[in-house]
Amino acid sequence: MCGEKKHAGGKLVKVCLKTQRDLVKGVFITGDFFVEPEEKFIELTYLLSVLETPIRNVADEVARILEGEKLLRIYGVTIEDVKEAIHTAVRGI
Amino acid sequence: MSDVNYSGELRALVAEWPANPFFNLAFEEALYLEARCPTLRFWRNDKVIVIGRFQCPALEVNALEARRLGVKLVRRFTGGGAVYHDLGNLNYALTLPGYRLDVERSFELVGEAVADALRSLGINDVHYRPLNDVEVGGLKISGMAASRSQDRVFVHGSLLVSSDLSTLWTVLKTSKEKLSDKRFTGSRVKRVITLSEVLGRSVDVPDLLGIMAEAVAGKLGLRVSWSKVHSSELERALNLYEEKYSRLEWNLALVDELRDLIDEEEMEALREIATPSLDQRRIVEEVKPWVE
Repeated sequence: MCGEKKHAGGKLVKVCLKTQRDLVKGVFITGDFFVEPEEKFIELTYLLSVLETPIRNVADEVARILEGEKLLRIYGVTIEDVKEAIHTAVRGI
Repeated sequence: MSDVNYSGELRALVAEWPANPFFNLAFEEALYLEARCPTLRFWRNDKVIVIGRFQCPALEVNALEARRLGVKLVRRFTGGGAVYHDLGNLNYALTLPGYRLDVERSFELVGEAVADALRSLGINDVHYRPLNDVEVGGLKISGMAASRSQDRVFVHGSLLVSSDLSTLWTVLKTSKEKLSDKRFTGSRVKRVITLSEVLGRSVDVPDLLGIMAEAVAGKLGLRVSWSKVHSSELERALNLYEEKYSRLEWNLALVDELRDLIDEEEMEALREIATPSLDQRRIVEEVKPWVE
């Protein structure tokens, strides 16, 4: 299931969740934002693609991981936007 | 702005293979990697959707419609959103070796240059809008994307000159969220405008090249010097084409992860539009003798 959030005057983030029963078994973040450094984001993408966590925790868990990436800068969307996109995806499950 | 003392020239060139957008995008990255001086490239694509580095094509593209209309799909190496290119788009790409600008300042520099170029055509209500747009009357006329490394900055973008906007709306998936802060005209959302619409007359793309080049050179304090493609750039582009831009692994990256959401017919269409045709492969074969 996927959800999305457009940052006002900014960019769009789309988050898709792979789920099994009440577990998330992979998070996929895509969108029209810009990132620096790109290698860091690609590493993060892989990490999230194998993330396993209860559905109810997934937004906070992803936010915690993003906040921990001190060297990663995402232009055009915020961590709050990512969380909102995840909440939308969860509501669709 | 720059650590390197150049000859004071902005190298400008037209380097385009409109019938093979896969090679056009390979050449774009080749210039980013190979340019040895400030270089401004102009080029056009014919009928292709170009998606951003971090987008999933299945979420951005109406693949069945694109296949029906003969529109191809290729991923670029920079971030940003999906765009539709046809011969009514003028694409520009600025590589600045030795420059140290952050992404925001890079967009501002090129966005202001594009706005200056449009002002010189007599358009008044034109503004660079952060992060990566240029707008006329609040409607987008040019969008940009960028990348940078330790020793260089790269910004590219496209200017809507006389694009077929009906095909654009047909082949791109546009979400309600995406339109949430855009302007509505009657019942139809109006997000973009072409230069021909603004000026109320047709515009020849070649006429714009000099104007755009002078505007970019002006922002950089350089003089325009028209140039040709170097064989080292072509060689790098051929490698990138073979190893990256002509391959499904690159163009359809992120699709496998969402495979459960895509039906087989759409998947087939995605594979077809993301693969160069035989005619397109022939165009690349014709380039090879130039570097051998």
